[in-house]
Amino acid sequence: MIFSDSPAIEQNGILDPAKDRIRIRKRGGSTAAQLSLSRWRTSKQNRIYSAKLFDALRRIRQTDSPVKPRSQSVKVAADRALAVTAGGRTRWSNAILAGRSIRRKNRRIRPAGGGERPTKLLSAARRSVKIPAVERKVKFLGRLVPGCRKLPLPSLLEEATDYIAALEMQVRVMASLAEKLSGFAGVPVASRPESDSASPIPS
Amino acid sequence: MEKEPFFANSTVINWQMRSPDAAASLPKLNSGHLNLIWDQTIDQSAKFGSALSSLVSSPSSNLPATTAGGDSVVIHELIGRLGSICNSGEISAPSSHYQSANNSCYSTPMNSPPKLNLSIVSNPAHMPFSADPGFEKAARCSTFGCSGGGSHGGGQFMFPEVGKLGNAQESSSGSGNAKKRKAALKAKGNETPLSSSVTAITNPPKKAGVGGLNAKKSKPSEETGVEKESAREDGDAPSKKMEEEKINKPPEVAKDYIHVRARRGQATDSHSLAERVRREKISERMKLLQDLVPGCSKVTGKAVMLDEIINYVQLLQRQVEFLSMKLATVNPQLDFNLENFVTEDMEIHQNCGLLPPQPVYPLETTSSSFSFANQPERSPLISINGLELEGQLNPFSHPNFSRNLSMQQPPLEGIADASCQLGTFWDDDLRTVVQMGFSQNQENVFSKSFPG
Repeated sequence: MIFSDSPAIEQNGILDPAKDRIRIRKRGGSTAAQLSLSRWRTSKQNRIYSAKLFDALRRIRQTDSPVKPRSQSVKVAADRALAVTAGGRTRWSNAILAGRSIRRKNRRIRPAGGGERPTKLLSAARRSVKIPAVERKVKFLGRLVPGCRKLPLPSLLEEATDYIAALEMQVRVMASLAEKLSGFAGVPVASRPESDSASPIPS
Repeated sequence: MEKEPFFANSTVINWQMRSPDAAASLPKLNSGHLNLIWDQTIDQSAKFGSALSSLVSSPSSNLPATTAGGDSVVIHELIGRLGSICNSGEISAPSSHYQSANNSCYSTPMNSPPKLNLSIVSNPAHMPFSADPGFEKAARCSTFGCSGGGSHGGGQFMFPEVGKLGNAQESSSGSGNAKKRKAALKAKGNETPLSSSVTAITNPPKKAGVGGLNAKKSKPSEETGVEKESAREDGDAPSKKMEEEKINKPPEVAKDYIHVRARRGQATDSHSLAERVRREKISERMKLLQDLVPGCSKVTGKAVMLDEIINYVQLLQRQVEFLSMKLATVNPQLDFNLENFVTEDMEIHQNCGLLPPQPVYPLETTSSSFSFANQPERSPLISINGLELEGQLNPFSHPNFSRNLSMQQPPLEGIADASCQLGTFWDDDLRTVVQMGFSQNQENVFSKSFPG
């Protein structure tokens, strides 16, 4: 990659490189999972992702789709950029990349037909049969992580690990991006979703 | 009947000798005086309990310098267990009761010998014969709950020494074999499958053919089983089976992928093995996640950890949503902010060398930004450049900024086409990487050729 000819990680404005390196050292990369975790914290990944994200943002700005709110398209683009950055190795990234076109249709169809039956069945089932708590949580986690609905617990945990690391990077990059874009306005980069949704931007 | 007295004889001898020599002397014993000795053993049933406990208390007296020595240690363990059974059962029972219990067990010579014979008949080996009935008896006694039986079993446990020597064949005949095997296995340094003996003990009636099954059990499992066995010296008769079931569990720890033959009565052991492997995988990954998810270092247990993980994933997703909304609102200002990007990112690093470090308030540079706005497609490239090529300071000074910008524009026009191509290629996400790299290269070339 042409991105970093210079080992100028120190000047990374997005990541704290020292912290990054310390984290990577801590991980040691002894296991594959740790390696995958640490790679999400490299400044290189940050740069790659931020570049992709910015490109997507620009594109969104250009092609304004009134159909869906821009925030949604931004989110979609951000997720896709994240999946691309992840490469084709993880399930969730492939699911994101593959699901944009296919699963949306499925999702539209499924809730309509499936929404009624499960509730009726489940209500009766809930009273009589108590699904083990761990089972329930595993299923819920499978729903949260894209493309991991029917995964058994060990692989689900693996996917979740990578997904969490990727999400953390995504949040970091987007936060810094938003800060830079709106930094002149002096708007604090709110990292809590509880804060107001749109920060006022002085025109 | 011969066997019984034989055992009793050897039992007595073992009690007295308490040494590996007993193993050698045992086979020599033969019927004859055995009946007498048998009575003696019955009379001494009460003493056996104490003897058992004393044996238990001094397990290290016969440390396994030899295999037989180890056997004795093992025997002591087993005896200890039996002794505890005896003691827990009927320590307070008067000796008469003790004897009566014993008599009830053994007064009918018809009862015990047949049982012994059962095991004996099936055993071709000589040694195992002696040991198996003893074990079987012990098992039966434990089930009966009579301390006398326990003592008998304990006495007959001495035979494990003999049995172990000949136990390599894994001859099996019910629980007696199982118990003998357990001790024998221990004696052999945990080489033979304990689980087989354990299972035999747990299911005495089933273990008729168990003998050879455990031969292939892995050693570490046996070791763990042995540890567990030694650990649980206390045990009531009903709990004995549970303990033995516990022994079954240690074999799970040996998650080796050696092809293990399933044992009869423990068909689920392979499952438990696989389950153990699975559990270890899960716990390993949970540990990784513990490091990742903040505030989970103290949490133990799958359910709570999963809760935390779910919460954290939801939190991150909500943050992404929120930030995307924020970026969406900020987006219209992209033109304004592009050069802001450029400035701020460029100061972080830059490859193109065109963009000066501008800690300048973006509003002030709106004039220059207009030039950017004219060709919005270029600026993203520059900003991309700035974003990605971080780490290099921009040597250019501020006053040159506008000049540089203007100078940039011609080469950027060429790049603008590339950026348009980039946009069209966005659908094929994986290719965008290549395209971006390509455009980066182009811009770098241009920028380097720029210098001004």
